Amino acid sequence: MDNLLSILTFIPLLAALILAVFLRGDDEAAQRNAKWLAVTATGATFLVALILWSAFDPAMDGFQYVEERAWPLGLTYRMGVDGISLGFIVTVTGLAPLAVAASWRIDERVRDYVIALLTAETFLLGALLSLDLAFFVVFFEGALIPVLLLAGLWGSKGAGHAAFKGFLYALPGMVLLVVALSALARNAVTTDISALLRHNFPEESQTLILLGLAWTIAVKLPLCPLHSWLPPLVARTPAAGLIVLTGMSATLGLYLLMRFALPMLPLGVLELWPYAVALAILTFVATGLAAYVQERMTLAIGYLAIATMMLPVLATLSLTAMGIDAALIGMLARGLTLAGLFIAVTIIEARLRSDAFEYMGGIRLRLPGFALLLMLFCLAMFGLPGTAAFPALALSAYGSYGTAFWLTLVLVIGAMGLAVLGAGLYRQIALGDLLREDVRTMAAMDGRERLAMSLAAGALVIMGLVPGLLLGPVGTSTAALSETVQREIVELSEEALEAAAAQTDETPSE
Amino acid sequence: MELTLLLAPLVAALIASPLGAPLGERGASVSALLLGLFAAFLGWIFALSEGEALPVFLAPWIGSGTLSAEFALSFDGPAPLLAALMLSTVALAQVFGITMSTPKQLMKVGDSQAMRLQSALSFLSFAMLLVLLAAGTVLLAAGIVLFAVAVSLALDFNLRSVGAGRAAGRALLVVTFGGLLTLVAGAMLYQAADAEAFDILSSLPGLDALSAPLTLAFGLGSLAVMGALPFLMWSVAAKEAPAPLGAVICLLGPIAAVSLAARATPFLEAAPLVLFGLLLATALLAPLMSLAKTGPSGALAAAAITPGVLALQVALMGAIAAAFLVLLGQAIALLLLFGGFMRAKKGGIARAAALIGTLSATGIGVPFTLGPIQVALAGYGGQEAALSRLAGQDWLYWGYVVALALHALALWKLYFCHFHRKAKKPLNEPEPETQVAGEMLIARISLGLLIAAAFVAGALSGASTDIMPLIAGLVGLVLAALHVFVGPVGDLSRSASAPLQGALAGPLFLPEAVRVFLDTPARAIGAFVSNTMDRSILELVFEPLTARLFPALSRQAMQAQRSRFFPLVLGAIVAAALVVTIVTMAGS
Repeated sequence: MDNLLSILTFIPLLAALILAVFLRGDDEAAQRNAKWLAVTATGATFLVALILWSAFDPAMDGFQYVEERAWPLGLTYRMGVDGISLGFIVTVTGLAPLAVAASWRIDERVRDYVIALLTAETFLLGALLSLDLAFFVVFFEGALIPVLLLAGLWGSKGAGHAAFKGFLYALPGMVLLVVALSALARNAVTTDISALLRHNFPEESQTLILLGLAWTIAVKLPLCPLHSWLPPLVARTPAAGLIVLTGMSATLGLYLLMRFALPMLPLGVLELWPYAVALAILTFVATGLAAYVQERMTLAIGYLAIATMMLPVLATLSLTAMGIDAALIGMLARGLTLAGLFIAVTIIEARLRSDAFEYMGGIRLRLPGFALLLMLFCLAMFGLPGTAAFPALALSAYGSYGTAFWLTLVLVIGAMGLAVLGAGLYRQIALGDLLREDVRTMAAMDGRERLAMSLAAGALVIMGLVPGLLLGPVGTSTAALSETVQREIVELSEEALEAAAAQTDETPSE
Repeated sequence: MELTLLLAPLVAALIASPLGAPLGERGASVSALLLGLFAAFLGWIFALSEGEALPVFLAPWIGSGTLSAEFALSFDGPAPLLAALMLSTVALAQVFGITMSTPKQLMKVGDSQAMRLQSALSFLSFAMLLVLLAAGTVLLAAGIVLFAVAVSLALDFNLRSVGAGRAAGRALLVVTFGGLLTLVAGAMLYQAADAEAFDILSSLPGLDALSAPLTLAFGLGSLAVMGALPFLMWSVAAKEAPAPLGAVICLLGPIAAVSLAARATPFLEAAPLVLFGLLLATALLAPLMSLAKTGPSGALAAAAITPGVLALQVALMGAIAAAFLVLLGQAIALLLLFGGFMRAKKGGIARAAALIGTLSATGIGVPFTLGPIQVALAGYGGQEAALSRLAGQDWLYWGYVVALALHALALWKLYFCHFHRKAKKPLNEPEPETQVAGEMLIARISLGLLIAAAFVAGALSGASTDIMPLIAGLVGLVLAALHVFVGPVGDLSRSASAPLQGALAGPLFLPEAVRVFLDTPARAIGAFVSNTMDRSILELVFEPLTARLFPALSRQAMQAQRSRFFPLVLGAIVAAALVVTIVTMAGS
């Protein structure tokens, strides 16, 4: 199919337009229609993504299903998918229906809410599939608006302020990103991303250009100290917004790293590698400890969302194909885990009217099925076997050992730290005795809640048992990406050896 | 058939979980039990048939680059025998589980204890099968981490017990640590040999250079998995689980550790003295901790550690057969001991089970032959074989002789205190149980069969050459009798000298000390990050900066919560940025 990628990208936007044009009012029927249209649109998008996934040729290096059309102003609409973007698309399209399911309790301006959610999905998919820099920037930057609106307008008191702060953090990055991408385009005299990937950028400018991308990457992931916009926002955002914000939108930071930084600017990456790794470790430690001391479930998961992002980042920075594979499947596992946890937040908040740990405890005795799923998600954070998180952990360990043994240790110790945090989270929510009356009388999960949590858990388990479903299609692209960086490393090593040999020759013999 | 063996316990665990509710409590429990018995039967078929030389491929799993980790099971070496032993022990515990009821105060309305017990035992079985039969390093690490989860769930059986929850958390973390160390060792092997399957790795030359780090990783991993020093805290916590689960947990840790050691033996240093020292220290310390316990379950859980440590010790020295014999004796003895001591009624079969169990566990057999059969109890042959393997190294040999004597002292003290009215120091009684007549009959038959099994296993253990286990057991018996009936009776922890008190309390205090040591700075840093750093960056840097640069925007945005103005502000700025971008790109 020639337009598969455009169909995939614009289904949610089309649904949003239908809502904007045809749906009026905010009564119960209108709300129900909006929600069901959102389910249909995100479900259909995921189905198209599944078709793309199954039809994707895993042996082929480079972009597939390429679409190209000339636009005014000399721009060209180009879309394409390779193994790297496929991994991200599966994550984004898979999480969108879960975000809708988590939104079911929203009862205020539902039409606008759904429009923002669907628009966010289109922008995110557009950014992942664009093969032209101009369109990439439009989609990439555009995705920020609906994501922040979801948080700012439907969050609790102070959410707007928090969203604006998030925007302020992103603002310098928007400017720098445009400057950096323009530099790439000017140097290669093209905005075609597939051509840029084949272009050799001058060694001396790679680090500078990468620094231009760095702010956006650091804000999106987010890396310490540019992470501090996220926790206040998380504390005030509804669960669906959190799934979009932490599960879907944060992936764009990693995508920038894999799509632009590693293949186009490998020397810059090698130059800045120690700082990036140090920042990722610092972020992991700082946010992990911050999660440890939180007294509210949402905030604890919010900080954990940042900490868990660091494992895919470190796996990517191992610069091996296995590490990049680990990052892709780890990102999917992380997204599903966070979705499950945020849905759990909505279930608890709806019943206890609070997400503070002090009001919980003993939930396991009241809702054993819910507690079992919650435990699965809490333990999946560190790499529970049988979930998609374990292949990610194993590949991270095996892949990073080739780069640096200490990196393997860092990843494994990090996983251990997440085990402590995950077990602690579960303990605070589910264990203990039934002391509080409102926990004692908590209503059981309804069918929709059970379905949403089970879908997230099911996907997590299926991808854990058959990770080849994702690793197979992405393998060729990740191997090619890793090869690009490894070639630079070998060349640098040879140059260093030659320089050392030349120095030895110049040294007069005694 | 291999897949059936692996999946039978998993299906049993699922049937006995809330998913099996339509079958009813009794139906689901009995179904799980039958599947457990079937798995044990299959296990013995595999153990007694000629082992497959090559791993049995079940399904592809994790593939990336040259790494191809598969769901593949290996039935070579001691794995099938250990699997059969483990499955049989679990199946017997499941039989006990059908017959034993939980104390009423631990029960919750609507909570199906019998089902949960069967589910926990079956899940333990499944995880252990992965550990024992994994053909590659990745599946082995996965199995160990799953084992950690299974142990944690089993320890947390008494949902309302704070101690159980804590023990479960510790077990989860410590055993997971063992699994992650195995993963690190696997990464080392993969980088060196470009393979992760044990059958390929063990046949490759040139891995000697890695023996030191591999010994550290696999060695520490096996110590964590079995709960030896410095990870002693979780193994003594087996007391938190009800009797059949406690017995199984006490046994499965050492079996998993021995299996791990057996897999790793080709890559390890010849004599890792630090590991040996830690194991011996554990073997000596555990019975002392048992002596200090006042409850039978805690005393049993601590005393059960020493034979497991001995098994791991000889397994690390390559004597897998001796390790298996020790574990076989330990399995029978533990079931008898937990079955005997945990019953509220002290007469008849319970006393006989406890006596035979104590005799077996303390290595007191009568090493003479009666016609073609050697008359000994289950534990004797294993301890004798293990000590024979240690004979070349005096410090280890005599160290373990002393440990076995202390172990015997702890168990005999338990026996005397529990069953003799004249004992000056009776133990805390186990919780009263409610049993119906049919269940009591099954329990009695099970214990009777176990007593017979103790004799059969003893007869099969082979001829003895060293009577030191018998001497150690007898010394323990005499010391215990003196301690209970004549000498100063009381908690060892109170009457012991200060250094000994420290040694006794240390391993249990350790996790608390580590928690306190790490908790305070962790909380301080965490609070600093979330309260100070994040807010300072926002409030001291960004907000003043924004207020200065975009005063109108900043002020309006702060007032614009939930207003139509907010999206307009964002939209306008982004639109402006996009226009600049498109113009720039078009220029390119």
